[in-house]
Amino acid sequence: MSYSDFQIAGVSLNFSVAFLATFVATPLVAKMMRRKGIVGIDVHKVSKTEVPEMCGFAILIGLLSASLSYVLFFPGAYLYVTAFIGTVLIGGVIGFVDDLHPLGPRIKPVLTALACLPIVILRAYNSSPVIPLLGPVRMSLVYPFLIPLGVAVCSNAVNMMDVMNGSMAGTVGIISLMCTVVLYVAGKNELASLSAGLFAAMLAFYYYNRYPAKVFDGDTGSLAVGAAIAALAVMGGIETVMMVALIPHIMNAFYGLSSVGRLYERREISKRPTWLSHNGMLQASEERGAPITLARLILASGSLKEGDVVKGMMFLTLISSMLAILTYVITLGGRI
Amino acid sequence: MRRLLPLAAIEVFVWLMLLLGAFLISKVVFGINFGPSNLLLTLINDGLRILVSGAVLFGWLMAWKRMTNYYFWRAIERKKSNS
Repeated sequence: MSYSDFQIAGVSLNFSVAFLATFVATPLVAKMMRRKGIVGIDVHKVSKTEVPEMCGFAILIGLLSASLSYVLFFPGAYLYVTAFIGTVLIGGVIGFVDDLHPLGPRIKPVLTALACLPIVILRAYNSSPVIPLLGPVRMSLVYPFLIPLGVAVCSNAVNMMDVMNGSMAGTVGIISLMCTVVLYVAGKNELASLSAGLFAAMLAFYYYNRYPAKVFDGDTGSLAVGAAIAALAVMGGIETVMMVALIPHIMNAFYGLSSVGRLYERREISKRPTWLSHNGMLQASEERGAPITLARLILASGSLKEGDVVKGMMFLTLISSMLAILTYVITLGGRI
Repeated sequence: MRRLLPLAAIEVFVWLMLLLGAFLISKVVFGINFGPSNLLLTLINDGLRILVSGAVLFGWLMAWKRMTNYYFWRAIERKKSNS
């Protein structure tokens, strides 16, 4: 078996296990949540359907099973796998607590920053991030302090994008595919495999979460997935590439925060960025004080169905992911 | 699809600004050098580098925000005048 066969086997293994586990676990978790009465209202539907919440557990199951089976076949990857799964699980636990007892807008970023602990403790990072046109910049002392910031920004940005059916799974699915390609080309086999697992989990979850959604991932899913993305960026040394891929998520979070002027929770916003008309079409709010989110920007020139807004978000993520690959090719010159 | 083109253009603008910001930091910020003759000068040197980098980042975010605000309110006005 040649080295490249070995690489492909790792990526395929993680992809297959994560896809199967998430695909099988999602309806089971949904059934359990419905039985326990953990349901949310689909606010962007006229019928206000009840949908099982916190089904992001299925994503955690998918990622955990894939990572465990990967480390069984590739024991040398235990460091990255442990750091990755540790970060994802801490993100998931914070999301779980937030789903049950909503955390404040200030405490949530602080807690999500803690998800980076496994990466920092296991030193599963390279303290010389590659900056476009600058190349690797040595930041031995400062870098460990930047990791919590990166994880908090990433997980909360992904969480803030989780506003419509399939918006989180669809956009992160595209980003994780880009991430798999970049890490694979960079020769980081273990991380490319973990990223392929995340892509597979997103693909399987999207099947149930797409418009009209049969399941909601809750903060359990979105914070864990955001932490997973951040972990891949930090461990793979592709911070800038990931930042470019996340432009729609950063746009969404930054516009929201800057238009409100402070950290805020979706639940506490009185002036909603969008509203649902009686014919089931979403409209952009024209109120000055409402947060300018990505959905509101897409709806600025006219009403759309929820599914079309999500397609718009996915299109913009596709563009940013292509720009991310371009960033890797033209500015990093393969120096990762 | 057509309505997404301005937003895609903003994305490309943001990306180009990111590269320009990195270029400015590489040329201007890393050009700041008082020489590491003593601890005080080294501290002033690094502090100034952080301040200038922060200013570049702030300018980047502000340019980004202004462009988006302009697009959003213009689109809303156009929609109102059409209806």
